[in-house]
Amino acid sequence: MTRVDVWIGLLLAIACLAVLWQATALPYRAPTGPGPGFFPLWLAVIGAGLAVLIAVKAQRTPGLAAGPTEHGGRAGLLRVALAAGGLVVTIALIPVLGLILAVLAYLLFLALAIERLSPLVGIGTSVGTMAFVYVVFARLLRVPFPTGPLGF
Amino acid sequence: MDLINNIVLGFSVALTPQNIFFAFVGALIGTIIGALPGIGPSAGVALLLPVTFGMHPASAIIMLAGIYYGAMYGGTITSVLINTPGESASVMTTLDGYQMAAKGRAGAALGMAAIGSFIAGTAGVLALMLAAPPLAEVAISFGPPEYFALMVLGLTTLTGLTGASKLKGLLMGIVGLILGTIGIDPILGNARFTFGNPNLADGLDFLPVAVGLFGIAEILGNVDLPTRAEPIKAKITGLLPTRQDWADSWGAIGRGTTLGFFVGALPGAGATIASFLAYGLEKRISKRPERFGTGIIEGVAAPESANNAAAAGALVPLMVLGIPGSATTAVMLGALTLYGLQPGPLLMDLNPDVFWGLVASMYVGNVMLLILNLPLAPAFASILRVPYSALVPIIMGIALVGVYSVQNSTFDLGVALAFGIIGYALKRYGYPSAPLVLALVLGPLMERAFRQSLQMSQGGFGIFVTRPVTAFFLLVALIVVVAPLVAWFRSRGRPIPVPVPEERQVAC
Repeated sequence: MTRVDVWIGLLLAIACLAVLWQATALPYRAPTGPGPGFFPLWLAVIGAGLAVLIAVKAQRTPGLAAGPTEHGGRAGLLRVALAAGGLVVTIALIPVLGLILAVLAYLLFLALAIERLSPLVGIGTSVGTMAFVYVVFARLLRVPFPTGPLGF
Repeated sequence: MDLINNIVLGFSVALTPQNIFFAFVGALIGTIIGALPGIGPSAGVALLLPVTFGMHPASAIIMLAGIYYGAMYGGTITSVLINTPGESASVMTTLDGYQMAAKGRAGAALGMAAIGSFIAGTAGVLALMLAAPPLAEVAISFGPPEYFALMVLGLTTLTGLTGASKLKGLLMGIVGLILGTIGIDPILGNARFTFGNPNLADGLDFLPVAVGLFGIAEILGNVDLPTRAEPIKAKITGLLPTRQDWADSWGAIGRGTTLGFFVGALPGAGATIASFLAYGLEKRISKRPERFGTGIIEGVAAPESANNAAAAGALVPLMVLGIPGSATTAVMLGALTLYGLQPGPLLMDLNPDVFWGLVASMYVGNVMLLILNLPLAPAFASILRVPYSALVPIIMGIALVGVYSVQNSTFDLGVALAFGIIGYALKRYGYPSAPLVLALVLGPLMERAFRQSLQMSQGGFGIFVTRPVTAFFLLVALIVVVAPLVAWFRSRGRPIPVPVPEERQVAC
């Protein structure tokens, strides 16, 4: 348990209470037994209880560490944020560029800018991967992908 | 006689050129996935599931099962050569396997692991074949209360055995169950937690969640702190065990196989726990327990046999009861449902080609894996020379296109991304993902069984204690849940125990 667990516990407890609030709007009973609100309501109660217990346990644990010991620090977090943000942009670009081109652009970004692979390896693995998935999904499995300006 | 007919049917399915090919592809990919640190069998099965669409269900499940048990073989390679388990079921192999490599006996460790895995895998399939039909007969008499209790037991066992904090495991299980309630209520038709979004009407699909939690989260974790494996210096020679190696190992293989199968067949336990228990058992009964951890071959043979037998054992609750006991089998349950199959006691009657074809293919697959892992062990070891960062675009490309292709939905990509970020955070702070995925898959089944039970009893909760099988399952589940809470209250004020490292947590 670390100090972060106090905050995670409280956050999850609040999330469970939100579920509880939503569940109270659903019928608790049905003519033949429990209603649609029964299961989520009790799950939210148990979840909130466990989350509070984790927060309390973390708070009472002596010698709390500030957080996890193995991670890449601020630079690592920035790389994660860039990788996740890039994926958000990719999803938004799929209707414009088509699935294959949009994902290819993202893989190139991931390989060259985030993972800092050499251009040969980065471009090779990205293009090779998308060629493979195009053949398997679009050609063999005939999955209808959104197409872009290049026709795929 | 029925059994012989079924075995003949199974081999007629498994030995078609097409299914031999898929068993080989599954075993090969599984070995590679097992050998690569970071990607476990859960991620492998989830990532490659969309590739199986369009295949005959028997071929698809043969390939996915091949990935699962192939990963058990492959996990040994990294454990022995770089002291890093390729997947969680190979953690115990690092203790003696790496020490053997340090003494110049990497070949013997890999050879004995492959042979032990083959013996255990084959014996496990034999046990699956013999145990499944009578168990299915019993399971046919199970009603909703028994199924509900069994699912509660499976979920609590997995969460109770997961990682350093059982509370965190339990909470993740509850979060998974809550997520499983999203969508249209199956009995009365009310929309629950959909917020008017039609994409959520059918609930949260398990595949984007699994790919997010196991695949994308793994990549984000690597982006945060790149995996850097030390270059392999050990020479891999002398793969065939000596007479002394055999004398030292045969008992460990036998015990590991037996223990592994039964532990694997328990809902929630799985291959990782099986390998921990097998190693512990060998150490306990050894005349010289102090030698364990110094590079003895029994320390490799026992856990490797156990995790392979457990992989076969884990298919018992999945195929016979329709209840997955681990994250990987939860993904496989989702796969079977996507193929239009209903795992459970009737699967053997309704789809005998799928069940018996899978069983027969596992004999074939184990032979393939023995051939792949003995002479080709040095070739697989060379995979470790490829930097993990070069694999990131490959994994991400397959993950994204695979998730999209299931329902042609960018919404699913958003779900995968969201759960990728959540999975990264969970991993970073020591919250296990496996119970969440298992609970998400089991949640709707559990709720349906729970509500049907109360319909049967006209609202009386006594139905869960008056039926002996139900009461027994629930009592065991209660012990699993309450025991850590009692231990916590009793240990307040005492020194804090050393936590189990993240990589030693149950994942498969």
